[in-house]
Amino acid sequence: MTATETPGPTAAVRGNLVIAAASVVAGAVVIPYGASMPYIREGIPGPGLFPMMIGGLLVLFGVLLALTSMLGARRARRDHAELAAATAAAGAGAGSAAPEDGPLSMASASVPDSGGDTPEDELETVAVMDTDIGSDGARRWINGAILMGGIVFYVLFAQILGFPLTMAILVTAIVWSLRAKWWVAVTTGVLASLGLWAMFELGLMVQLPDGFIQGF
Amino acid sequence: MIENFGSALELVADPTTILVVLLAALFGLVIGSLPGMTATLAAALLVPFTFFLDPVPAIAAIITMSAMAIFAGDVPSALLRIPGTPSSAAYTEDAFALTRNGKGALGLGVSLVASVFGGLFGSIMLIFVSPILGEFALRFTSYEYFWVAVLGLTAAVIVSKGAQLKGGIALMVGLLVSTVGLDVTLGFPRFTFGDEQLYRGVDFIAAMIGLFGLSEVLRAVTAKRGESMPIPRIEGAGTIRPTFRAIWRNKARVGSGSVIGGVVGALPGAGADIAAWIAYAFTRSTSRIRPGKNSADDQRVEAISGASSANNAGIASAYVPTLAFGIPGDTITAILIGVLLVKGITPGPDLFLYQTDTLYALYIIFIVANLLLLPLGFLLIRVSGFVLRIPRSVLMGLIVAISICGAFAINNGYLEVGLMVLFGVIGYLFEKGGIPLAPVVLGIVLGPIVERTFMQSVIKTDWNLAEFFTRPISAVLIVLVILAIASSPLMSWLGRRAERATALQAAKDRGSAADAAG
Repeated sequence: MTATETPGPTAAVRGNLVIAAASVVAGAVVIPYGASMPYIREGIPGPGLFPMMIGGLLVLFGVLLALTSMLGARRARRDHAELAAATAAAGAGAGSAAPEDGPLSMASASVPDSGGDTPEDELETVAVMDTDIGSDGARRWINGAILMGGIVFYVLFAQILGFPLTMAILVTAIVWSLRAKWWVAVTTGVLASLGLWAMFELGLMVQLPDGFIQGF
Repeated sequence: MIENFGSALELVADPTTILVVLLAALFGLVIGSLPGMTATLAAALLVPFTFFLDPVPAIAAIITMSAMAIFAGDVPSALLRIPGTPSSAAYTEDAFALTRNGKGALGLGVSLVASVFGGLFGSIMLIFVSPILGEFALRFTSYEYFWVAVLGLTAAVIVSKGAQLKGGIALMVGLLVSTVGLDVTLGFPRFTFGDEQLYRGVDFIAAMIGLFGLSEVLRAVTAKRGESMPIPRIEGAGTIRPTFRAIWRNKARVGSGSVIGGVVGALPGAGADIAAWIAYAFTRSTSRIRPGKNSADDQRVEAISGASSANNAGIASAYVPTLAFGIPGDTITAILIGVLLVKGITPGPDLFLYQTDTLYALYIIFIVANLLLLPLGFLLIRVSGFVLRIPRSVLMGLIVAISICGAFAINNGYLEVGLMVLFGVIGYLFEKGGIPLAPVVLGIVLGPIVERTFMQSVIKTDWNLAEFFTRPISAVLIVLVILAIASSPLMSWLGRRAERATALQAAKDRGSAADAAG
C-alpha cells in the first residue's frame, strides 16, 4: 500500500501534459519507422500499416489529452471546492444547511453515520499492521536503486555464483533496505531462494543457473 | 452432455487439480487480504506456475484464486478501512463502521455468504449464456472476428474509468508492443532492433509479471513513509448463525446484487468494481429500512449484501465474452486468455465444439471454487489479524524473487528478465501518471488478432472495405461497438458519481459527528 498522494489540480495538469507530450513524441517516432517498412504493396497491406496507424492514434490521443486535461482541471477544482465547502459547513455547525442534493443524486446512497456508533478512537486493537515500509527523502531513491541494481546484479552474477546464493543476496538486500531486522532479511532471503530453487529445479524441471555450487 | 460432464468431472477430480485449487485458494485469500495487492497481481504471479500445469489445473488455479481474492479484499476494508482490491471500495465505509460497533465479524460473514451466492449466480449465468453467444460466434468469419476484437479494444478503454484518453494511450502502447517480432503477412521483423531473440515477439507473461508484480514492488520501495495501521479486534467465533440470519433477512438484496453483478460483469470491460458501485448505489437508494435507533447497522449489512454479491457475480460473468468470443472481460480474463493460448486452447466458439471437456471442467471449477470459498472464507475471518501482520518488507522480497524466476522460466533466458524489468518501470511510471494498465494488457492480447483478421479480410476482398460493414453479423457487432462506446461515459459517470457522492457525504458526516462530539 502506498500513501495516496493527492496532487493539486495544477500538478495533475502538468503530469497530463507530460504524458501527452510523451505520447505525441512516441507517435512521431513510430510513424516514420512504420513508413520505412513496406506498408502497402500491390494493394496488399504490409507490416508497416499497423505501426503507422498506432503512431497516428498516439499523436491524436496525446493532443486530445492535452486539450481535455485543461478542461478537466477546471472541473476538478470545482469538485474540490464543493467538498471543502461541505466539510466547512458541517464543521461550522450541525444545524447549518449542507448543500442540497438534487432528487436524482446518489448522495442519498452514501454511508449514513448514526449517533449510536462507537467512535473510532474507542476501537479495541490487538496488533499493528506493518505498512510502514516507506521512507523519507533520499532513502526512497536509494531503495529503488537497490531493487533495480539488485536485479542487474542477479542477471550478471547468477551464472557465476549460482541461483541459490545470488537470489538469497538479492532478496536479503531488498528486505533489509525496507528496514526489516537483519535476521528477518537473511531468513527470508535464504528460505525464498531455497524454496524457489526446490520448486523450479526439482518440481517444475526448469534449469536454473548452478554457478560454482554443483551437485544438486 | 452427461458423458461430457463425466469426463470433465474426472479432469477436475484429479489429485493434482485438487491440490492446485487448494494452494491457489490460499494464495488468493492472502494476497486479496493485503491492501494494495490486487487480484491481477496475484494472477500475474500465478502465471509462471500455470505454465507447467495441464490446461485444466492451470485454469482452475486462476479462477479459484480470483474468486478468493475478491472476497478477501473485504477483510482490510472491515479492519483497516482500506479496500484490499478495488472491488471492495464501494462498501469499505460500511464494513469499517460495523467493525467499530463490534460487528466486524458479522459484516465480513455477510459479505462472504453474499459473495458465495453472487459467485454461484454468476457461474450459472456463465453456464447458460456463454453457449448461446458461442453458437452465434460459430458463424463468424474474419470480418466478425475483427469487429469482436475491436469490441474488446473498445472495452479496454472503457475499463479505464474516468481516464478514457489515457486508456487510449495505454491501449496504443499495448498494441505497439504486440507488433514487436515477425509480422503476420510477410514475416518482416518489426521493432526488433536487430536482436534475433526479439523475432518471437515480446512475451506476454514477462510483460504481465513486470506490469503488475515488479511495478508494485517499485512503488512500495519508493513510497513515502506511511503510518502503521492498528488492527482492531474481531470476534471470530460464533458468527456463522447470525450471518445466515442476516443473509436470510436480506435475501432480496443478495438477489438483486447478483443480477446487477451478473449483467454488468458480462459487459466487456465493465468489471467487478463498477458492478459493486452500481449495486451499492442501487441497494442504498432503494433501502426500505426506516432510519431510526440502531437501524444504521442494519442498513450497512443490507448494503454489503447487495454490493458484495455483485462483485463476485461480476467476476464469474466476466468470463462470458471471454469464452464465447475470446475477448477478455477484464485484466484477469486477459491473463487467462494468455495462459489458454500458451496451452493451445483458443478461447472462443471452438471451445464449445471441440473442447467441451475443458469447457465443462471450467464450469465445474467455477461452482467448486465458490463453494470452497465458504469454509475457507470463514477460516480467513478467524485468522485475518494474523494475515494482515505479514511484514510487507518480506512480501516485497518474495514478489521480486518469484517475478525473476517466473520470467526466467519462460524461455530459460535473460531476455524475458530484461523485458520484465522494462515493463516494471513502465507500469510504475504509468501508475504515477494515472494511466491505467488494463488496456496495455488487452492491447498485447488482442493486437495480433485485430491485425491478422484485418489483413485476412482485406486480402480476401481486395480492399473492398464495404464487406466490413454490410455483413449482417458484422452489423450487429458494429452496433455493439457503438453501444460500448456510448455506454462508457454512462458507466464511468454512474461509477464516478456514486463514488464522489459517497466521499462528499462522508465528509459531511464526519464534520457533523465531530461537531456533535465537540
